[in-house]
Amino acid sequence: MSNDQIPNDPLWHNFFRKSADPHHVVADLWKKTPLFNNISWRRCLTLSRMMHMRHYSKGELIFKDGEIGLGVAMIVSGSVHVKTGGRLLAELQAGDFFGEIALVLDEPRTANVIAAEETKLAFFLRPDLEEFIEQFPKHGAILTFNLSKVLANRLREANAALRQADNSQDARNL
Amino acid sequence: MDIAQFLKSRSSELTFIGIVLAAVLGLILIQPVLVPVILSFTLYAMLEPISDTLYRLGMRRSYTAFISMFVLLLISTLIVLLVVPEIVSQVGHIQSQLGRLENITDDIFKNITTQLRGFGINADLSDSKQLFEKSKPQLDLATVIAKSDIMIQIVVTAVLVPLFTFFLVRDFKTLRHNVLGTLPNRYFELGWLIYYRVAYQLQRYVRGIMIQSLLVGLISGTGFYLVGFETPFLLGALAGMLNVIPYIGMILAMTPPVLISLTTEPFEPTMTFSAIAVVVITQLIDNVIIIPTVIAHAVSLHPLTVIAGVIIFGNAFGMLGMIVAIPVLAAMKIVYVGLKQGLKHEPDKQFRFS
Repeated sequence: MSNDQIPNDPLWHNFFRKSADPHHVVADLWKKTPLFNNISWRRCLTLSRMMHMRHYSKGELIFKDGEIGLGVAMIVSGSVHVKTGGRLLAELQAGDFFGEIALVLDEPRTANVIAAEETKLAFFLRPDLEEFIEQFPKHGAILTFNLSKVLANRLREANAALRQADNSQDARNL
Repeated sequence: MDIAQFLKSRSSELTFIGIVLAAVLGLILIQPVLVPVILSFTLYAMLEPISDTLYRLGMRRSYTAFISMFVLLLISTLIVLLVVPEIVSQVGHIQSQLGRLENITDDIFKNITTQLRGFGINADLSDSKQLFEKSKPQLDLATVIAKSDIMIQIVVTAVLVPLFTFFLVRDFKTLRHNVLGTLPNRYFELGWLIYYRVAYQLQRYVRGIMIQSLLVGLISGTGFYLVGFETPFLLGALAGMLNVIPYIGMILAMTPPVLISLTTEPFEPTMTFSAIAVVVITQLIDNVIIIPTVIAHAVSLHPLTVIAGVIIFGNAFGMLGMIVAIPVLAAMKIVYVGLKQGLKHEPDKQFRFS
């Protein structure tokens, strides 16, 4: 074996190296989202073990407008297109999440979401959230508080967009 | 309308029929171990809170399963040591009392024959003794056990139930995750939605029915003790268990105390009326207080559906079928409604998990 083939990592790096567990990757990604603010990485890992991993091929429908939803999905790898009425609303990348309204409401999805490439998603469903709240009430309260902040922000953004649309309409009328 | 359109428009009904057929096939396949499977799931539902609490404290699932099984073993040992001897002695007592039933009935028939002769009717009812000669072996517990495979079933159940329960406590959530993970992407959320609704309602029903049985057993047992029965514990336990069967359970629960009251020497009609009164009062308390508070809305089935289901399931699977009829019907209803709403994209505004 030549010298350049020998790994130059110190021995102790092996002791502190994170395991190749896919849940660790999911926990890392969720930890960076506003949903998991002030929640320890350990609890994120507990949650990621409760989550549901799904693989989608390019062009596959993930959510359909008007269909019943049960939870939020986070992109672990790949990207998705959010569309409504054939119009592209957003392109989401790894680490982004969507469909969080279904975590609190038994209402149909409001847009189509399509995989833009080979995509891996981690689903977190409403019953998982309820089980988490029951098992870890303190962290469950933080998570629901974060969720309400995310939803409030979405509402604020929607209101701002609506106001802007109203203003442009008024300007056109004048 | 062509076939493809018809299949698409009836997709929820066809999926439901497919699920029911698969479930029936599954039931037929697992029929030899159906009793251990049902018992194991019931025990799992009871042990799950213990296992979850330990898991929350950071313990591995294997250890939580071992500790849960130890708790189960402890409770079972206590029951065997404290309750079983009492039940055995009370069963013996009832057997000896029921043995006297033959002589009592014979006396009754002789009296009726004499009375009929008084009215000029010459009918001899002494032949009715032959009925007892035929049915006598059925009253002999030892003969029943010797002639049937009850002992084998008991041994198989005693071995399988702890084994199944251990693996359910340890692996059920992983297994569930893996099984539902096999659903296609398109129906993944719908599958989980239906699963959670069925599991939630079944859990509520099973827990409710267990509390109800315990309360009915305690109330009727106390009642039988107060009116002077010598085996109130056994009769109460029997009433509690039979109460699981809707509508028919009450009549079945009334039969043993009434038969016992007929065998008391000297015969006291007040004892028979007291036995009926205890069962009726218990049923009143059950219907007015226990059911509305403990298992109200656990399942929302029409009474006719319940009666028909109990009769059909009872005919197919015996006593076990009568007990599981309601949860099975409720599960079928949820699956059907879930498929109909899910495949037609309608939200269920009535249902909430909590």
